[in-house]
Parts: sequence; C-alpha cells; structure tokens
Amino acid sequence: MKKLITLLLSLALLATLLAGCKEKGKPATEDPAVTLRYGVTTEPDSLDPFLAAGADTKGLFFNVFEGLFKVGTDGGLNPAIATDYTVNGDSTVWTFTIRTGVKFHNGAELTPEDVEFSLGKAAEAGYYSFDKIADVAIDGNVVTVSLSEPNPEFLTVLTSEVVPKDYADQASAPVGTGPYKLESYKPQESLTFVRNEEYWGAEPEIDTVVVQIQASQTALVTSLQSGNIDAATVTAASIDQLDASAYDIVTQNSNGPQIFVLNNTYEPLTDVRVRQALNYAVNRREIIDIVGSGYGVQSESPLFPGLSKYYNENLYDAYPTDLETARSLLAAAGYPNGFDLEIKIPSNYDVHVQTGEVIVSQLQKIGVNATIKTIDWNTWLDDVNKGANYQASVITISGRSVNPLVELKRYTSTSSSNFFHYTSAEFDDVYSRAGSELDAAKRVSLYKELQQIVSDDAVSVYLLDIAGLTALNKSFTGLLSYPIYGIIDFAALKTVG
Amino acid sequence: MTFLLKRLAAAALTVFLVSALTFAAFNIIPGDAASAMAGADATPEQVEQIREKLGMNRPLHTRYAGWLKGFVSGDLGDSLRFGTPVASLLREKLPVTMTLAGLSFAMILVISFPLALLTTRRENGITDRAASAVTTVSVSVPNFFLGVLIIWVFSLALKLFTAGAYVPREQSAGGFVAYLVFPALAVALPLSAMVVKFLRSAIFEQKREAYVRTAYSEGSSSGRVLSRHVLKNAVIPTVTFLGMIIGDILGGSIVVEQVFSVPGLGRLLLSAVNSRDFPLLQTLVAYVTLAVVLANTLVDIAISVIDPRIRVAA
Repeated sequence: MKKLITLLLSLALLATLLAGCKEKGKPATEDPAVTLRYGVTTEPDSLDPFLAAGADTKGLFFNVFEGLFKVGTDGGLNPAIATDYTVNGDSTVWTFTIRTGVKFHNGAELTPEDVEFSLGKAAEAGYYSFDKIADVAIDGNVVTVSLSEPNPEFLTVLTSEVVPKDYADQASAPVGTGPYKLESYKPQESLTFVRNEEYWGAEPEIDTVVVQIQASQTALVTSLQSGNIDAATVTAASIDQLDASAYDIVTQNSNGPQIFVLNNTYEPLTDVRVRQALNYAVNRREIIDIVGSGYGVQSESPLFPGLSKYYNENLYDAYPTDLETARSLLAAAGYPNGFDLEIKIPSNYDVHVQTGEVIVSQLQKIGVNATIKTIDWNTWLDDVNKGANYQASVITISGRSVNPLVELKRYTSTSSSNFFHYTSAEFDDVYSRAGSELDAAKRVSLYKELQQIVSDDAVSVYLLDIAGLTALNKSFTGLLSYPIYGIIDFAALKTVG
Repeated sequence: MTFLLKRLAAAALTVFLVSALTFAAFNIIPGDAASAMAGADATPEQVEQIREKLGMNRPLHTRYAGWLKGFVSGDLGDSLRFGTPVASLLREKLPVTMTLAGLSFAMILVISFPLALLTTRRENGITDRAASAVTTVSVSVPNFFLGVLIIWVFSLALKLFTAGAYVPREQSAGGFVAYLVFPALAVALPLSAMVVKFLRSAIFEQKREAYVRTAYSEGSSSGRVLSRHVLKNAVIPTVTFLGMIIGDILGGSIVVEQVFSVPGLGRLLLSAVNSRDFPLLQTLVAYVTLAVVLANTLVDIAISVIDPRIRVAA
C-alpha cells in the first residue's frame, strides 16, 4: 500500500510539472530589440553560396549575399556591389564601378579582387554563361569583364554572390555583404540572422530573425496557431485553421510553373497529338479549385508569370478544356481507346500528389488509364531528373533567374536538365539567336516565340503557378514579393505601431 | 562472469550484423548523397564538386571498412549532409532523444504499475473493466496521432505549452525537460496500456496459484500476499517485457519528434536516410542498436539477480 501511495504522489508531482510549463511558453515582451521568428520546413542544402542550389536556401540567403546587382521586386536589377556600368556596342565588354566602403561580415573591406575571385567561383560552379568570361581586368575600383561572345543579358547573371577571396570557411560560417549576417546555424533547429550594423545601404528595422526549422507542414501550422512563430509560408488548405485576427495572409507567386511532365521519348507520348490531347483533357481551373482551394494562377507557358516582361500572355489558356478535341486527337494518333500511363510523383510533395489525383480522374474521361506511383525524392532525382526511367510526373520547376534563357535552357536538345527529353531543331535555333540578339525588343519577341514553340509542341502539360501564401503576424508588415526563388526580404520587414 | 562476457559478445555481434545489413540496404536504394544534396536545380558541375568534396568516388567496400574502423576507434567522421563531425551532431541530439526516452520510460512505470494494481483488486470488477476499455483504446491509437491530439488539447485549447517552441537545454534545463513532457506522454500512453494489460494478466495468473491460497490460509493480509508473493513473481515477466519495449520507446520517440518538432535523433535519422548521409546513418543505427541491445542485456542481468535460476539456465 505504501508503494501505491508513493506512486500516486509521483503522479501528482508530474501534474504539477505539467502545470508549471505554462509560464515558460510566454515570450519576453520587455526586450526592446525586435526579433522575428520565421518558420520553414527545409534545411539549407549548403551554407556555401556556390554549393547551395536549393531555391529555398537561395531565397533565405538573399539576405546574406549580394551580387554586383540585386534582383528587384519587379524583376529588374538594382545596383548593389557595383554602383554603375557601361557596355560596348556588341555587348562583349562590360565595365563596372565597384562601390567603395563596403565591408564583409567578417570586417574585411571589399576589394575589386574579391569581385574577380567571386566571378571565378561562379564559373567553377557552372552558373549560366560564366564560362563565356574571357578576361577580368582591374583598374582602381573599376572591373572590366570581357566575354568571348555577345551577351546582352549579362547583367541578369551578375546577381551571383560576391564573397571575400581569402576566406575558406563559407561552408560553416558564411560571409557576405548583405543587410543580415548569419550568427549561428543549428542543424534541424534554427538559423539566426542578425542585422549587419555596417551595411552600406539603408538600415533594416528588425534586429534579429530566427528561422526555425520545423519537422513538417503540420508542425509549422501548429507553431503558428500556438504563437511560437510570427510567419511562415503555408498551404492553401491550412489557411482556414489560422486565426484571421492574428495573421495577415500575404499572397505571392511561387515563381515556377507546376508541370504535368511528359517523357517525350516514351511511346505513345512521342506523338505530339497525344501530348496535345492530354493538354486538352486537363482542366487547370479544377486543379486550382480542388488542390489550391482557389489560390493559384493558371499559366500554360514554360515560363512563370512573375517574369512579366518576357512572359507570353497568349499562353495563359493555350489549351482550353475540350474533351471532344482531345478524343479526336487521340483517335487520329491511333489510340481511340486511350492507353495506360504511370505518373511518378515525389511523395514529399503533397501538392503534386493531390494534383496528380485530380489529373488521373480527368484523364479517365478520354479513356487514358493513368495511375500514380509515389516515390521518394531521391528516386525521383534518379528516375526522372537524371534518367529517362519514367512516363510522366508532376513537379514545379523553381524560378532561379530573371533571365528567361536560364529558365528555358532545359528545353534545348543538349541540356543535361532536359528531363522532358524534348528535341526540336527550331527551338534550338531560336534559342541561340535569342542569346545574341542585341536589340532589346527583338529579344523579347524571341523569348515569347520560344514559349510558343514549347506550347505548340505540347512538350508537357503546363498547369499553373502555385500560390505562395505567407501568414504574417499582424505586428509585422512589409513582406515583399519577388519574381524568383521565394525570397524573404528581412530588410523590408517592419513592426506595426 | 562468463555469463556477462557471453552477453557482451552477443551484443557486439548484433550491432555488427545490423550495421552490415543497413549498409547493404543503403546501397540498394536509389540516389546518393551528392545528388540528394544538390537536388533538382544543381548544375552537373555543382554535383561533381560535391561528390569530389565528400570523397564519394571511392569504392563502396573501402568506404564501409573506413567507417567501421573509424567507429571502433572512436573517430566517427563527418556528416555528408551537414559537413560537421558526426560526433558533435550526436553530442547535440543524443541527449535530447535519451531524455525523451527516459521521460517516457519513467511515465510508463508511473502510469502502468499503480493502474495495474488498482485494476487487479477484483477481476472483472468495475475498475478492471473500465481500465480494460481505456487500455484497449490506448493501445490502438498510433503515437503520432496521439501527439497531434495532445498538441490540440494541451497546447491550443488549454494553452499549457507552446507547440513547436522547443527549448534547447543549454538555454534552460527546466524548460527543456518541460517541453519534452508532452511528447513523452504521446510515446508513453500506448506503451503504458500494453504494460498494464501485461501486468494485469500476470498478477491474475499468480493470484490463481496454489501458493497464494496457502499464504492466505496462513493468515497473511491481502496487502502482504500481494507485495511479498504475487507482485514479486509477476514482476519478472514484466521486467522482460519492459526490456522489450525499450525498442518501441526509441521507435516512438523518433516518430513523435516529427510531430512536436523536437530536434532529436529521430529527425536526424530521417534526414540521414533522405539525404543518403552514409556515415551519419551508419553511426545512428549502430547507436540505436547498441542502446536496445544494452537495455536488454541489463534486463537479463537484472532478472538473473531477482531470480538466480535463470542464470543457471543461460
């Protein structure tokens, strides 16, 4: 009996412990320094800017690293490390004036030699068009870059990171020139960014941004509900679970086309009529309503609408849902009774799996018997991204550059990232002409032509630009929307009141 | 002494076999660390740079032999995914999961023993039947779902804790343990129910034995019969059972860590698999195996102390 009493007492003790937790959860409010807690679910793939490839990592470290130029919210370029530039008539010699008095996060003064070094790092990492740099010359604080062939859009790639040349620890303690510096990184816990007090530009208001790495979307939403974080990008379906009086929902583009990917070398998808039939059978509006709860922008171009200057507006609804046309195209191609199709989808993306389910039911209406096979991300990388071991898939290609040629390169016949296995002499020809066209207006029309070719050839079924919905605590404001990556611009955020 | 040595040798062999099997399985599944790290957006140059940097161009068996040699000599190498020494990752995450598992284990004891004693006062009595219903439900609820329920009730409705607001132990030891109480509850409840069911049937079994009747006929009080005779005999199979569920506790912790965003071994293990982080995964698997094997060995030793007959049989 005595033992029983002891055990009951321990139970009571446990209950007290539980009750005691209540005070611990409350955040300190007296602290004058402003901290923003931002929740994410992805771990940075590398802290070294030249090894990091993930769109989420790039979007986060937008605050830490700067290039000669910086992407603006409108997709234009703003001077950053370079204050201005001049270019010769055929766009082969570019001259940049380097900003003076810029300091790296480790206290070192930025020099033109650092710029030269960083351009070399970008070339090593295989960044688009850096292999065409023939020579870099330094004269005082002027850097002259000579190219081996004309590149009228050279500025767009100069958002590549500028880093100090005598610094070897980028992978563990990254050093840039941006408005925030990385103070600490605890794997699977958090990244802490603090304001760079020696920043050359306007001083940001938020002192500290703690980026919490949560285990799942569910954990992210509960963290928002419990007040553990101030902001996070969440799915459309979870918006209703949030307290509308505590959070503003900022709608952004996700900056990348969601695609029902078709392997152009897989029979019967080799036939353009079959691919067009699938395009006519898929109802994008229905996908947006069912999967995105109505959020999302229909888009049937291989480019995303955020690049508004180059986006081919005519492709917004290039293949309106038309089951009759779809059926007759299938019949003309010799498949009047449809065919079987396996769609491999990475299981870690709920949104793609759900989209796949809607597509399966839509294709049934034209007799195409599609099935979904969910696979893990690494298998997807092997089977779809690298090999041609698939029939169809659903994925979003994240926008990485304001240069449309970077985004469209994967459709060229020789590109290693052409997982559509699409080959078109016409596309290749227009692509190479677009790269060297010196007249800006003509260039834009070539960009639009490239999108038209991809659409006419029905390389895949282009669906939409998924909505990026960010919940932001009402005590903060100023979240900006950029056309690439999913940039979170800490420097623009402000407190309310 | 030979008993102890035999047990330890068996433990070492188990760990080796598990690690070799993990290694084999890891090389059958698609993908490698470089392509996993680089993702879909990397240039081929970036992937090659990563592969070179990670030393992944060496043949498989040399990599496994290298890891095994390092593991035995205490040099765990660097994690491919995080670029930091595996040892420092373990130093950070191991105490988290151990605390979570320890708390869960303590809760299981605190919940299950009094409950089992309470229900066994009378077979098929009201408390017995009520407890039996509760335990049947608890056993059937998956711990991750229980975790979501606990967050909903204790965090969002009752506001007893802030979901997701994990407190690092170097920041506040009390806050650290307090945050782990609820995840531990999610791990402990279904397992406690199992222990209650097990202990209950063991106690009833003993109560029906002839020696219990003899003890009563000698005039012993029911409390004395319970503590001196019934409980002592019922505890031996229960201790074995507790040893067996240590694996379940660790497995449960790994799942529940995801729900509560606890940065412990479970999340590390998951990330090691997803990012094909060979040195990290091998070490984690070896450690978890070692923990389970050691726990079971300790149970065997404990039982041999309680009941010397078992030692002879071994």
